[in-house]
Amino acid sequence: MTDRTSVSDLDYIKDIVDRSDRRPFPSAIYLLWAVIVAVGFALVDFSPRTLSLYWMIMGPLGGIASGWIGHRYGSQRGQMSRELGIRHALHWGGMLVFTFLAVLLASTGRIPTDSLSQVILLIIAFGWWCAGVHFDRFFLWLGSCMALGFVVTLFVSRYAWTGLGLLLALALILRIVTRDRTHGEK
Amino acid sequence: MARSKGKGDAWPDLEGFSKLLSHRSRLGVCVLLSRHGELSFSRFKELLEETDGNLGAQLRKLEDEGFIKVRKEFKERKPVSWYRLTTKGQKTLSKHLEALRRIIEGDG
Repeated sequence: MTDRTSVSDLDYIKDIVDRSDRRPFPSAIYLLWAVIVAVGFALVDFSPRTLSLYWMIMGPLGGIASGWIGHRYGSQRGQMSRELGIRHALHWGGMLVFTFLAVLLASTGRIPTDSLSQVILLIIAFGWWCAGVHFDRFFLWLGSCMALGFVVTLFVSRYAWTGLGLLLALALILRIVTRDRTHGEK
Repeated sequence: MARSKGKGDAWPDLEGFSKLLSHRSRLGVCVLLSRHGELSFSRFKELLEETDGNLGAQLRKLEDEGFIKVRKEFKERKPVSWYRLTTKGQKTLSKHLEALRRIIEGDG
């Protein structure tokens, strides 16, 4: 064994590790959240009264569904990572808990109810940004997009939330398309 | 640079260097398991681009040495073998990778 064969072996290992890391999330999860986000954000403009109920149900339900889809995807693919599953559960579950805690700010009268959506948007933007750091770089763009959307909702009152929700949904769907093209996988 | 034990025996006399992991497919199996936790036989086949026979033989060697453990289950009436790294396998892999690093850096 020489340093040259060692380098060649490590190149080979790097290549298989890179290939094993492709498509860590199934497309169905992106699609699921594209729908949840598009509808949930539009409710701010069109039906603010149902907004809390919608997110109280769809937030946890979407999380559970994502976990189930992810587990099924790993099982079908033949690659199960318990450690990655725990990290996802801690990240997204934690984000959900902190979001519900933020609701207490409005329910105890610390902040006006109208501002709650913006506070939650900031928490989610940061959560998606962190998902970009830890899981999929694409979430950095989504987190930035949300942060920018947060600024827009401060100054634009008509349909800013609907527009932002649609933009994020479109970005999530585009991610599925570009990822499959890049990796040549279905 | 690594030192050889003699003519025809190219295994470097390096602390932590594992002869079993000097085969790139076996090294690949252990690295993938270390990174992802559990992988199925068919996933290994896809990633390592090995034949069933060759891959099976390499996995058996690792299993015999106690580096990996196999779990069998049936999915849609088909048997699926899931592999995971044992503590011994993880320790050996870490030492082997460190030895490789020393070879590349010329400290061996």
